[in-house]
Amino acid sequence: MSRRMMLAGSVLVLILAAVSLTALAQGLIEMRSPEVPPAQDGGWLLISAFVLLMVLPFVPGLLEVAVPRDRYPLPIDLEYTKDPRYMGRSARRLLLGGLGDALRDPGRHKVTLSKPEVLEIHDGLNLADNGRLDLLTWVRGDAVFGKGARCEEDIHVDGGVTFGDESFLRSVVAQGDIELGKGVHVVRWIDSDGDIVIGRDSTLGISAASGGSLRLGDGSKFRRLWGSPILTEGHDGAPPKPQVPSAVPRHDATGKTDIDDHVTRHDGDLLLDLVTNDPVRPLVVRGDCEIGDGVVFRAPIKVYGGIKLGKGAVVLGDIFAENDVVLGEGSVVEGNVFTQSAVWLGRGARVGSPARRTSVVARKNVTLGGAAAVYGYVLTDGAGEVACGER
Amino acid sequence: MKERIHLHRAYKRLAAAPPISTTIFLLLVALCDVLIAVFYKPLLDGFVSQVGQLAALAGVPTAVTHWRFLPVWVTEMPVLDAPASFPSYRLSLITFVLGVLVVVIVPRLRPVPKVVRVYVAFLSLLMTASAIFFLFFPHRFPYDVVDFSLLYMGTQFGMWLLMPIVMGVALSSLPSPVPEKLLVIVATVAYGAVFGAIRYASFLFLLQKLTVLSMAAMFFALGPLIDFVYMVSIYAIYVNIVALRLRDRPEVWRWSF
Amino acid sequence: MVVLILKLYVILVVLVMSVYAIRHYWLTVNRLRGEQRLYYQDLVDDDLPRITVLIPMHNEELVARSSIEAILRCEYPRELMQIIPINDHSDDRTGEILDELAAEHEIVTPLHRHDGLRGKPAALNDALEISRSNVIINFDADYLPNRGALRDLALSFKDPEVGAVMGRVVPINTEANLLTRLLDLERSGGYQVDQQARHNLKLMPQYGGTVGAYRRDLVQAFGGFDPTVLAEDTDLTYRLYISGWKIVYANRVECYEEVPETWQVRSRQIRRWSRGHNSVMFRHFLPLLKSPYLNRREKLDGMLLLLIYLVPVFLLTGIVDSILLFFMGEMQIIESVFVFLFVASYNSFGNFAPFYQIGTASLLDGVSHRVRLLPFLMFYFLLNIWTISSGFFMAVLDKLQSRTAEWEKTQRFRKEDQA
Repeated sequence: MSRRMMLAGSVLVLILAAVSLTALAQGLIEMRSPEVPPAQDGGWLLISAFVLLMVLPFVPGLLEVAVPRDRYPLPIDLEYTKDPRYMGRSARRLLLGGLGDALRDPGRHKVTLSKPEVLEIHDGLNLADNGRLDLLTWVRGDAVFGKGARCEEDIHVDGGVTFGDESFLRSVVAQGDIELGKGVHVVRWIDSDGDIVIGRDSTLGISAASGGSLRLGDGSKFRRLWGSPILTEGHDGAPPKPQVPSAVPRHDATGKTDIDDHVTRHDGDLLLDLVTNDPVRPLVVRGDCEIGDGVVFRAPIKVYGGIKLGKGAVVLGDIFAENDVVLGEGSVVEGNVFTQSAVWLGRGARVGSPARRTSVVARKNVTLGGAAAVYGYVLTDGAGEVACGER
Repeated sequence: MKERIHLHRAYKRLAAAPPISTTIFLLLVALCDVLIAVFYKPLLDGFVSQVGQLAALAGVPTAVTHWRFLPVWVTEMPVLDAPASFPSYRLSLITFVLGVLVVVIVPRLRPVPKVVRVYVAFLSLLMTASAIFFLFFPHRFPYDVVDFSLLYMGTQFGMWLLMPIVMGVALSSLPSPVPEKLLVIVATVAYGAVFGAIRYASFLFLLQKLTVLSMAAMFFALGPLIDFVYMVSIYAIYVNIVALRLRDRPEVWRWSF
Repeated sequence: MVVLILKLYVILVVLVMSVYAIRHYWLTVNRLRGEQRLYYQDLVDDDLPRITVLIPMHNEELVARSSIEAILRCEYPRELMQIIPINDHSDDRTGEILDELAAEHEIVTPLHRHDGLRGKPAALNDALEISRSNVIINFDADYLPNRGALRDLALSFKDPEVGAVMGRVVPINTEANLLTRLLDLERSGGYQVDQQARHNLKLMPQYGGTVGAYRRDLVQAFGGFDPTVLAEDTDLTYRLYISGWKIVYANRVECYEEVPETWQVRSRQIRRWSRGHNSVMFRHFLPLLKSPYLNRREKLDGMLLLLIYLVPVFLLTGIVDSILLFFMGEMQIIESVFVFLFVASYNSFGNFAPFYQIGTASLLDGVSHRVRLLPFLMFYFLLNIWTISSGFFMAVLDKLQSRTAEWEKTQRFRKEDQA
């Protein structure tokens, strides 16, 4: 139906409504005056009222068709793609895009980014202990913030940046390294092209992303982490020894349709305690699964319950779980760890490798033990925390 | 300082509804139904009396009679009796011919939107079926005005009882205050009562003018089907209001990534 | 006896409608208030599977270039990617445009089909033969995916149980007219609420034939897409579930599509869907119930989904039944209440998504005034009853006469300057 036809329909309905209302009013007057005999056309007045009440529910919709207020397609960001460093890149792009060349000298400038703001540009910055920064800031060299510093707006640093203990900041994007002292509170995010070191008991807002390594002190709290590697306190930084064999057998075409011809399915709980180097098919456990100490499993595992890896156990494939995933001391997952519940990485556990960055994704909590390493991405919809258990 | 960053709509949701407010709301909805069920007698009597007055306005004389309805609870249903005309053989024949013509021609009228053609064809089929009945079995037509009234009142009463439930269920998960949602339900039932009264009186008028030939079309095309429309419309307007309000209250949303 | 049967049938229809109304209410509440089950788009993994993107095209000169360029804009390692646009018996410039694109981009390898069976299933089968990947991603010719769509879809196959994945379809031509706006509402209810809730509840999200992906080896082991089936997507959905595979729904993978702008085109499309879906229903109903891989909840959901295009037939016959009862003088008291019950419930169901489901989807999508168009779904619903029922009867005749339905392409409305 064309817009024109709908408009014509709307006009028709409105005319009909007007006529009906007039007729109804006339009828009501007649009803209130007993001396006036019932009109000949009282029946048609009734029908008009009936039609009016029947079409009235369509009027809000007709108005929306005639004078649309919400007609556009749902907006889709066609540029969207998963980028763990989206926050930092986006802030940087916004800043650089909002500035003309004339606005790059030190001093204060009025700029319009997502809203009108005042930008303060420094060649370098050294903020004293308990100092306060209330403006959007761009430091074109290195920046040092003393203990207890408080920054209420975003900070862009071209060099490296250091925050003293107990500092408070909204967000920082640095091209150099970032170092946060103990107990630093980040409201939104931090992003660095270099390495990031986080002091104990810091809170990292919604994202901490590094182009290099990301080291986390005990007690750090987080939602998303990105780094290669992400190391927790106690890790010496040495790269892992490559697993032999390291490759997961590919999912081969079997020419058969049933899932049982492609994966090994197990109903109920399962304990895998045999060390095997034979290539195996992907495993689906419809219960809980435990992988014994030192066992190497060479394929992806999906569990309907939870999964626990014993000391030194190795899974070369991905792990998908419905319930909690517990990686025991020194255990290794070369693929991804994904769960609708929580993940706990024990001391010295590792996920991913320098050769293959992967993810730890949990709908509930993620707890990283001491000396743990994740090469790639950590994401939780619940609470993330480093718990080295040494204090 | 804004700590929450609002993410994409894909995994957006509301916090679980507080069980107490949901329970209270559903209990109050049930109470609406209980009130209608308990006070059915004055409600039905008042409704019929109003319809009688409306019918009088249209020059249709009516008389209230009570008929056996259910074995228990609503044992008697007040209904209106009114004069109605019976279709002549000629009127039935003309209706049949016109009905067949409309059924044949309307689906081919390309400029008319197909939805409208389907609805018109549905109406015409009902009229044609009715005409066939009166052409071949005029004396077997099972209804007089009282029967039709009983059918109408039964449906109307059923709607009063079901409307709060349907609307209550539809509104229960929306993030808005309980009194406001109850008001929406009351408004829907009130609209239904006014609309139902005017429709009943109109039907009585039409039965007199257009004969009982149109009874089937009235019941099936203009009956309960239409009640759904205002119910959905009121729901839609309310959701529109809630949606606009939520734009200023982003904190009510929860986000999974 | 006849009257008793007719009355029992009315009650049966009411019960069927009530089951659907309850199901949709459950899905609605789950989507709005429940925990949302994660999809895999947040995985970041250097090890991505090799993929092939298939785009069937029949006389798509208006959109061929733009849709392939949209795929080329996607972020995915080029060495792991192949695009096969399928020129299926086109007699316009589609083939020429595809060859131009192939000359410009090494990963575009068009398949020209000038003989053999026409239609999407046959075209896909031929393309599967030349595909170099096991993960196949399907797009229709008028679809515009975002840059992350390929990665987000492909990642789901890391899960060893996943046989197929489906993304969300969003109408782009909502401004065209009332019909496109109603279809927008319906899609919103169907994807934002229905599919996501079924994903949350581990029921049976559906593979929809486009903005989706599947494992090639499985489809080929099934014998390929059946060219005699008009709903090859539903057919694959049930083959996979019955064989123990899962389908996941990716609500974040959104893609624009063009919806029909005329009621004629829409009714032809829905009749074709009904015919195809119902033939799939005849084929898979019993195997679904017998499948050793599905639990009771999945079977129930699968059965309700399989019967969804049969429900309007129930309604239509229910109306005819009621009219018969009316003229027999048997439409009294209780039956009249039942009539309202099933009218209310089938109205709330009749458009694949009941009004409360669409209202909830609108809230979640953050839209506002468009929800006021909900009452217009009544007209749309009447049309659906008619066209879906006729599609069902065609499927019955197909079954009885062992005849083959011919593939029919949905007319495009995009203007050349919009392409």
